[in-house]
Amino acid sequence: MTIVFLHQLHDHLISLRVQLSMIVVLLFFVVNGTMYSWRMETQAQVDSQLTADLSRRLDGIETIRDAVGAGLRVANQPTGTGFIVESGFDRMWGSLWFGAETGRIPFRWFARDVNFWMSRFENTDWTLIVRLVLSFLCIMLAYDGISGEAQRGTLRQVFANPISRGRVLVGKFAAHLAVLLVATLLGTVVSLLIQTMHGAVELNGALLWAHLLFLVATVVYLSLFLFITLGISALTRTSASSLVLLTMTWAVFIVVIPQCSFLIAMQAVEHEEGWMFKSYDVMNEARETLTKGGLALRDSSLAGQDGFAVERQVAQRIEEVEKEQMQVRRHGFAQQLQRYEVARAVNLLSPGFAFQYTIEAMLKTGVAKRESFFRQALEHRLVVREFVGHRDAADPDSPHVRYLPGYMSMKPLDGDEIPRFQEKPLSFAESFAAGVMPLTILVFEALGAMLFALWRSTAPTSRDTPLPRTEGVDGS
Amino acid sequence: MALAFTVVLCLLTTLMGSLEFSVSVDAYQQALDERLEALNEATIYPRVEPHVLVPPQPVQILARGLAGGNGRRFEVFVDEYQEGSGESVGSGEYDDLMQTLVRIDFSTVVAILLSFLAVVIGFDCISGEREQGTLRLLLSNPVPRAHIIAAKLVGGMLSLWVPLLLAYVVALSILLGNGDVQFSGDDWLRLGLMLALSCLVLGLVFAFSAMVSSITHNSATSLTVCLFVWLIAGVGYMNCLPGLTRYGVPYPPFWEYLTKMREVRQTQAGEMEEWEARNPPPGAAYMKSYSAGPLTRYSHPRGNAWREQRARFRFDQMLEYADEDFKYRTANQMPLAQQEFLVDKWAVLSPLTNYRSLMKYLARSSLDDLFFFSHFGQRYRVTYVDYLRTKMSSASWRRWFTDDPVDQEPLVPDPESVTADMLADGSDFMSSRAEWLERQQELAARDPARTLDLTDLPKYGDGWKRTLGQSLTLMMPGLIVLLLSFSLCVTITVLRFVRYRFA
Repeated sequence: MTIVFLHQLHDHLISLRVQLSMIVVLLFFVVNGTMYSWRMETQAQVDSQLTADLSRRLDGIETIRDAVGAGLRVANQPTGTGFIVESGFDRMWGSLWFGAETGRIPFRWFARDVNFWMSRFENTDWTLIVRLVLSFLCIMLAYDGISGEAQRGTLRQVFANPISRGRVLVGKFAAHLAVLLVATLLGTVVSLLIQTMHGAVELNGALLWAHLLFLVATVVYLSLFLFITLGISALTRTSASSLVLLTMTWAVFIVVIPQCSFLIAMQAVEHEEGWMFKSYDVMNEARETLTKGGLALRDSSLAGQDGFAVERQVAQRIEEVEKEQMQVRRHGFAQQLQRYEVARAVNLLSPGFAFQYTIEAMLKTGVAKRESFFRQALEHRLVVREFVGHRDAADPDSPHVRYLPGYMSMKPLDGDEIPRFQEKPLSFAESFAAGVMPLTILVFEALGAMLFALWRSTAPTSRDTPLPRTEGVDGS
Repeated sequence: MALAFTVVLCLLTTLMGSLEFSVSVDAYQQALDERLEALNEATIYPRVEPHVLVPPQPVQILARGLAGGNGRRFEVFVDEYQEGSGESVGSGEYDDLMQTLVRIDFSTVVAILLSFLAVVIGFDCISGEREQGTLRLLLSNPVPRAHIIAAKLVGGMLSLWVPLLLAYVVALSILLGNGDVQFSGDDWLRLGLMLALSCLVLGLVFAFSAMVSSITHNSATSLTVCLFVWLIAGVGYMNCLPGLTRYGVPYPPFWEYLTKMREVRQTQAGEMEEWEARNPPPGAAYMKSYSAGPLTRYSHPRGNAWREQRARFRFDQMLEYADEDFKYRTANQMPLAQQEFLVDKWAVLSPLTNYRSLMKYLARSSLDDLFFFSHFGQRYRVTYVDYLRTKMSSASWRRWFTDDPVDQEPLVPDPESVTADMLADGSDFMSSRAEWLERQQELAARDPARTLDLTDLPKYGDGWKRTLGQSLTLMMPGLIVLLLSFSLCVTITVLRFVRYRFA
């Protein structure tokens, strides 16, 4: 086995294919490193603006009333491993505007570099490079792994040795994998170096761990492709037909299926558009009804005469409508998520996306992080409300009409006392839940591919008799 | 096998695109109905929202680009107008989760799958024969070498063009089977050009492979070189280019925009206060009225006269605000748009990305075409504002805020005689007037004379889309590069073949 491994490795190191592959992989990782170095620069700039804006708002708060009426904003926390996997969510809505005031429900807003014109492109992160480029290189390196040798007649010599066929296969596989892994390792290190030089990343334990997880998943993913390639190479008569078959398979699974997921999900799940606007309409209508019903907010001195009865009624009504509004949104959002889940399921037919989603879950990002952020942000609003409500309750002079800023305590309050938002990363259970399905699929696909390759290479076929030399493309 | 596969794939993508197109057509129809209804129900000018609406374009199903076969809307208001590229009318537009997914169309199938087929057919067309020894046989025939190589090239290209043509016919027949799809004469020309363009790019990839095959020593090397070039030029460049342009452009000054607009609003509010201080309104009794948004009813004529003055002043403020807003928003958005423009500009470096951006220009689904549309919308807004000005100056500014007839009885008929107590909420006087108001509102709802006569509202026509000539001008650099590289590849192949000597 070792001999086959070393022999194959030697063959590789002198071949044009491997040298080109190395260059291509390095090229991609250099692009990745450069791109994300730029990106981190702008991100740092925008994040400082975000913080400055929040501080400015908090500085403007002098009383409890101000705190209730203030518009606050929470933004999501970048994972710091965006260059490994980003999954396109970072460029979507990443922050929420809200206020403690009743009826001021959160709305989604940009966080960093949102550009809807560019949303149809994927980022060149490490996952994309492995998913698209390295999987293709697997095919390029190994498509003639068996059929080529059969055509050249060297397979006979190999089989004449007292090594089992399974071992020959594993030796070849290991050599291919070693070459690709070295390329990946080299590439990732170069990308990290470029980013470190720009000061975009900080090398620490967490990053090392993420890197390791990424490499492990890459090994599984590339094994899948190498086994399929070797298996098909043993199945077909000539290297050329093996290549055509493999590349078509690759194109379908890696390019076509993921690109169809959008259209399929759109057709499969009925979806009501404009629920976001509808949720605002609910509140506008309710406010109009209140005004028509003579329930208008009055001047504080006038309202005090009957103990703020009207204002309390209004506050209570708006509070109810707020719940209704959130209901509309939850419904719309659930539908949206359902549709996205269908697209995800379609994507999972592609091993590329099983790999992508596995990495997303391992590095605690992807759609699960997004959901978790919005949930936490909504909870944070309740925390802020509770805080101001508590401070309001402590003031005996306040009318206690919660939460209408005009009818609450006027006691001073320092804006910095308001609880700050800090996004918690996904818990292990959450990321496990997101990752278990893709990981299982990926591992089983890899195992299946291995069995297929072993079966094909050990099955006795006419491959043992060398074909006439003229039929091949590699016959020179 | 590969051929059948390509045809099936074209069939599937077009079928899905066609189904989605029907959804977009429905969405457009609904938007159009809503627009008409809004125009019919408008009783004062601020409620008139003559948005420019354009239908979905079926050609875009083949090359989705940014428009993606959806209709588009350019919102026209006095105090604000849309920047950027207008707003898409169709399905899934507000679904940001779905926006993270990449979509497939005919141009993708050609750029990725058929181009690969071209490599496979072309990589051994000369080196293969040499290796098998048939080249010697072939050249021993008394036929000029130029004829042989010409026949080889044409034959290879035909074997690509036939499946392409088949796939294209299948795609078109699916589209024609959908009742929502209607092609105009211009569309047919564009569809024809799309086919020609696809043929050209496949021919180029084939000619390139043949060129490599004529240069390299054996087929294996030729295949390796061709596939690596395909990998870099296709998948690689297609995916890296957007990333690079994305970060090659400075970050938009979004915060500056927010700050600037806050300042403009404050300045205008200050100006308005100043104006009101110079022109104090008549007493509260004259101003007493019913109001809902911009609409005011049952005010005293003196109150209305003051409001007319104010509306005239405010109108100019609104126009100024819209211009400032547009200026800063454009400054904010242009870097973002620039990223996409750069993608189209630099696409020229690789034939496959070049092909895709040329297809977008043909389908009018590129960002450039969306901006063409929104510039049209901006010009229409100017026309509309001029129309408003003539209307207001010929009639009066009254119609800006009220639909009351001139002889309307006011809410407070005799303001001189009422006291402050009588005007307070809940007083006997106000209660009785509130009942009167309710009856009046019922009458007003049934009164057709209150609706605006908008028969002379300027129409926006169909200048919103580029003519074929304009699209072709836009495509010229990309087309020239494609044609030049095609002829270069063919020339080199022919020269290498004709001067070939056996060792």
